[in-house]
Amino acid sequence: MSFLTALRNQRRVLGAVLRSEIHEAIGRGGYRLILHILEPPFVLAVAVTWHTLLRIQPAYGTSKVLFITTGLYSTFFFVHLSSRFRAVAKGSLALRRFPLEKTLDYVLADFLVKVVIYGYAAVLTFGGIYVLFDREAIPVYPGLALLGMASLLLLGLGMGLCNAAIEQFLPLWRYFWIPVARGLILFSGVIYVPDFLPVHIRYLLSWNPTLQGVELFRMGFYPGYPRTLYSPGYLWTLAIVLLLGGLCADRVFRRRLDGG
Amino acid sequence: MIVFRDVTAVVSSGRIRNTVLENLSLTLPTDESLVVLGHEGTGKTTLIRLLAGAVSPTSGTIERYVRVSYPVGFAGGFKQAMSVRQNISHAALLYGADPDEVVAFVAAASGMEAELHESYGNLPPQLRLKLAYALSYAIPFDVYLIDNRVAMGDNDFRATCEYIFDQRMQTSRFILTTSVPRYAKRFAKKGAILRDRQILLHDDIDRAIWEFERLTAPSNARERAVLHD
Repeated sequence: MSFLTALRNQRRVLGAVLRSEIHEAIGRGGYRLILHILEPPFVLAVAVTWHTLLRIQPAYGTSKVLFITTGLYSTFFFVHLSSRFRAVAKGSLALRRFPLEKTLDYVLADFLVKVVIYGYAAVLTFGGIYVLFDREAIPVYPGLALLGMASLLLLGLGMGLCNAAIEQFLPLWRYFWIPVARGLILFSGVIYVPDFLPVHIRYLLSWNPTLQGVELFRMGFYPGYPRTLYSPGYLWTLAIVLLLGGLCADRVFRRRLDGG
Repeated sequence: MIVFRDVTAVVSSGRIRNTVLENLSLTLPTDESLVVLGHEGTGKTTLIRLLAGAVSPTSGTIERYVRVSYPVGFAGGFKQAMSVRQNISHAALLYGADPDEVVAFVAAASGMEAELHESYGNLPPQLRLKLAYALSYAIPFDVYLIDNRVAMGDNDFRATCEYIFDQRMQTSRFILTTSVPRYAKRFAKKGAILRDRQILLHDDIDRAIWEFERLTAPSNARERAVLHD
């Protein structure tokens, strides 16, 4: 089989799997899709309300709503992507698929569906902030904001693939990773500006890849946002290494992942 | 043709590991239909799953130079939350067939026109069985993989399946695994024997059956001796 034929076959299979994933996401009456889209804004509303009640001032800019949203929203994607592929990649599920459908197909389709859903959620969230709170909710440098989001999506996909492979051998891994992933939110500069912290704390935080992604995302909204900690080489290298590592893990452990 | 290159297949069930194939290098011809004879436990179902690509060999590669079906009657790929029509379309798209044609074929063959918009999860087992078999034959493949049964279900549906099967075999071929020699002779002219982790090809089905029964005879004799004692 030539490479082009194989590529065509893969595109056909991925397209069919993507359609079925969209059907699953929509569910009956579209309620599931609506819930998926409303979940990020709901979580943000809770966080913002909490800060408002405690009278906490925004760490940067004039709007705490926008500042928290730029931090929470971007890490939210990473946490969800890195934690939820295990459900798609379970070996037992592979036995309930047609032979042409492989675990990686479902992981990629699930990823694409989530990107679209979270994209709609982003439009809803930031559009709502623009209308209700702050005219600065539209990014000044949209390219940087998109790059920041792309880096976190790649990190999430790579880590999700790695987690799916690890969990085949260590079923308890999920109980370790989920708290770690959620804990990363605290160390990602969601409600503070890392550059304003003491030097030794800044150094430690700079190793957190999600913080790097949040910094890049925020640079798209705030023209003068401090960027001392931001290291594009570290961020993108780690994103690519995780993605390649996850793809390699899928290839090496494919037999096990596919229920063999 | 389907080419096995140094294939070893080990199946694990809990702590039990069973080697179905060991260092097998073989070219399975697909210009004619083939029946593979094997006793219970020799790995006939695993062989079908290997040919379909549902499982990968432990080592070695299997190269398929024809469009191979999934195991006929396989129902594991259906999504509970999707409708019958959506499930059929999904399988058709997956295997590169026209969804509308496949839906029409399945509806006609299984008599399930009224259930197309029902959720698959709500279907009773008998209808799920009909759907699985009808869909298997609805999608055009070069080679159909059949694990022992060409058709299942009530008499009318089995007759329909056997008719469709005969029609399909005018343009396609099949690989059927069975442990019943007389069943083998009914369907194909070429045979193979799955035994001792190898596949032995025979150009003549009668020769394959004779060889299979000859290999079976000593174990039968031992069993008769034990019962007699």
